[in-house]
Amino acid sequence: MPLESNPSRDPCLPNLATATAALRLQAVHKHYGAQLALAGLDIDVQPGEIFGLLGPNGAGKSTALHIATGLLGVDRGSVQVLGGDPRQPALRRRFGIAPQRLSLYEHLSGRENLTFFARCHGLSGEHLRHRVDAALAFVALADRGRDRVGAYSGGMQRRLNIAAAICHDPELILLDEPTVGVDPQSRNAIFDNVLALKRQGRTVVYTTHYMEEAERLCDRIAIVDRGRLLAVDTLNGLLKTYGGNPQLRIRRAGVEQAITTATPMVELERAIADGGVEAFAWSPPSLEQVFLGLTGRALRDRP
Amino acid sequence: MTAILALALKDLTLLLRNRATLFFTFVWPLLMAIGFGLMFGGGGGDKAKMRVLLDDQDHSVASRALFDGLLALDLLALQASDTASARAQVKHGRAVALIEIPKGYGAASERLFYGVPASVRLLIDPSRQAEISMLQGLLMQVASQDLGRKLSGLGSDRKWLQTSRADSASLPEDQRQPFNNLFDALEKLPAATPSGSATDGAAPAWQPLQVTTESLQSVRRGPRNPFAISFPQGILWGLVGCLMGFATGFAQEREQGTWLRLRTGPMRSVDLLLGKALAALIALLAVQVLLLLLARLLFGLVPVSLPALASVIFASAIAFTGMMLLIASAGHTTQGVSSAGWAALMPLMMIGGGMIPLIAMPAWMAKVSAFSPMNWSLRSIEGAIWRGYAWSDYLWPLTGLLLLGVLGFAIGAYRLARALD
Repeated sequence: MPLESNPSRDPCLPNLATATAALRLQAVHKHYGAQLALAGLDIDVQPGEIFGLLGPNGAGKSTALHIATGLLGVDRGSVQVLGGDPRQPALRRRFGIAPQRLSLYEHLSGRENLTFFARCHGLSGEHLRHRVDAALAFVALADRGRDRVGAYSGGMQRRLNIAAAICHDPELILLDEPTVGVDPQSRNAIFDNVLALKRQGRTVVYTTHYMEEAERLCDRIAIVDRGRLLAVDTLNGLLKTYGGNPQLRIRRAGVEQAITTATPMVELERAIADGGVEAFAWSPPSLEQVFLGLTGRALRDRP
Repeated sequence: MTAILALALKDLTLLLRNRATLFFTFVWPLLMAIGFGLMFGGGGGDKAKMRVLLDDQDHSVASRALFDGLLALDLLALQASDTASARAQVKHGRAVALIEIPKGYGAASERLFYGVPASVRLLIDPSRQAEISMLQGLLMQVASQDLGRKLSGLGSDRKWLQTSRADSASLPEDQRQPFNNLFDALEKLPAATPSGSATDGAAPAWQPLQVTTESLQSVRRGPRNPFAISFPQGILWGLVGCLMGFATGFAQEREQGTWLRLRTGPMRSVDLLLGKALAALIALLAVQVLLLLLARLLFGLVPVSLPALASVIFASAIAFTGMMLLIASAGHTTQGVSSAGWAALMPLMMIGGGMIPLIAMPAWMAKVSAFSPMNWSLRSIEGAIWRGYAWSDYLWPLTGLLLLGVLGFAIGAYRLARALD
């Protein structure tokens, strides 16, 4: 049940009707053998926004990113990145990816890693040195640039993984679950990095299955499952459309009762009038509720 | 091109920083080469000395003194032999040279300033110039020591001095007088004069011994020393170690995701593979050159043909680069590639001379061995080091190696491109 987004909700977002999409996947189908990975996925990422791709394991997020970077071809549908075919070498200089798996050489230093990847993107000379310095400073690793990556902590490696994606100064940055397995400090630093990228005018596509990350960072969030787009909107839009009613919890004689209702104040007044209310709490709908409502509560053990 | 070079440089840096790969690429083959060389008989004893034959046709006290003097140096494995047999041994490389002491040597050495000077003839293998130069030096050293003994009276009485004085009687008056002055001075020398000073006093234009050389056309069929067998084998192990290091490194890169990042960049897939191949090619060349240099420095292994050796080294590097890509495409994981690689390479090494030297193979095994590319490489290296192959002998092995390299690259690249997409 693909759903339309509502561009009028956030005035800070670019005009979706007129802007050229930074990334556009239209009715993309992809099979791995007999297994269907993407079933007509539609995504439209606008320039300058942080676009969240939220889905359970095996939803097709990484496949979508691999298609977006030209690593994988599609069975059906069309892909446009920055207005062109992502397999064009010239266009590939304009985007960068931080894969989910750490894509770094442990026996090289942080600086050597970045220099190598930047050189592969055609940078050289003073411009290359400047970009490497800037990328190291951006992820707060300037003082550890000469150390081998094998000696970095998990959080430092994750930050360097992002630096490797941006060292060639791309317009579009694809971050595939960039906070997996890092401590809270490093996660916060990565959040700051992502927000700083947006302030620099870059477009970020951010895949995750952590609700709080999507809530905190993303201008718009797409919820995908089983290779399909289930919903895409701003956080408020998703909550309003799919969040359902607020939940009212009332404790009477030591027993807690949860009431989901569109009129919590009316329900609360009625409960107080009935007497015996010891405590009550009211919680608005959450993204997790939206997510579980759309994707279901069944475990996803299938890869 | 810059990106291809960057990729190659990165892989070479990783090779140098990975101790395990570095060990199995450079150190292990060297240990194998030295170890097997010593086991084959290259360590210590007479095997380490130059084997020199001596045909004493004079049978005089002086010729015996020369033989004893050479023997006393303890640098030569000296053996008496007749000329006919000795010539054959030198031709076949079983001895460095034949020293032929002609009749009249003793008489000439007793009469320093009269007639033809004492001389010996060296029959040599011209390809062993370094050893021949050393042998000539040793002969001059022994002859000088003999002269020293004569001058100091330690070696014999001074009969030779009286003979020389008598011989000088036939000289013109103006030439005779200076000689008589010399003989007077020599008679007055104390018996304990150190022999070294006598040697030092020899006139520059005069030599205590005249050495003439004759080159024999080499028909050698065997290796010069055991290291001529063990080092080519070591090189083969170095090539295999390097190949496996790069193949498994490639698989590891695919597993870790760095390959994925590279493939999202602007480099074409073929450029990425060329970068990998270039790094492997450079490393494969380096391991061969390094081992050969060490063989030269440590064990005096001199190739019979440098151009041929250079061609063989290059062809082997091309072949193993192709095999590297082929093996790298044989599995999806590091362990898979490693297992497939060793499963394919070990039998080829076993029959190709990596374990049993080609020279020691039974006839049936030698026939089977001809199907292994390891054999093509090993036989060609040996051909350039000691077999003395003609260029026509290299034609098939080198063609095979180059073809294998090109085919391996093409098939490996095709398989990898399919597996990665």
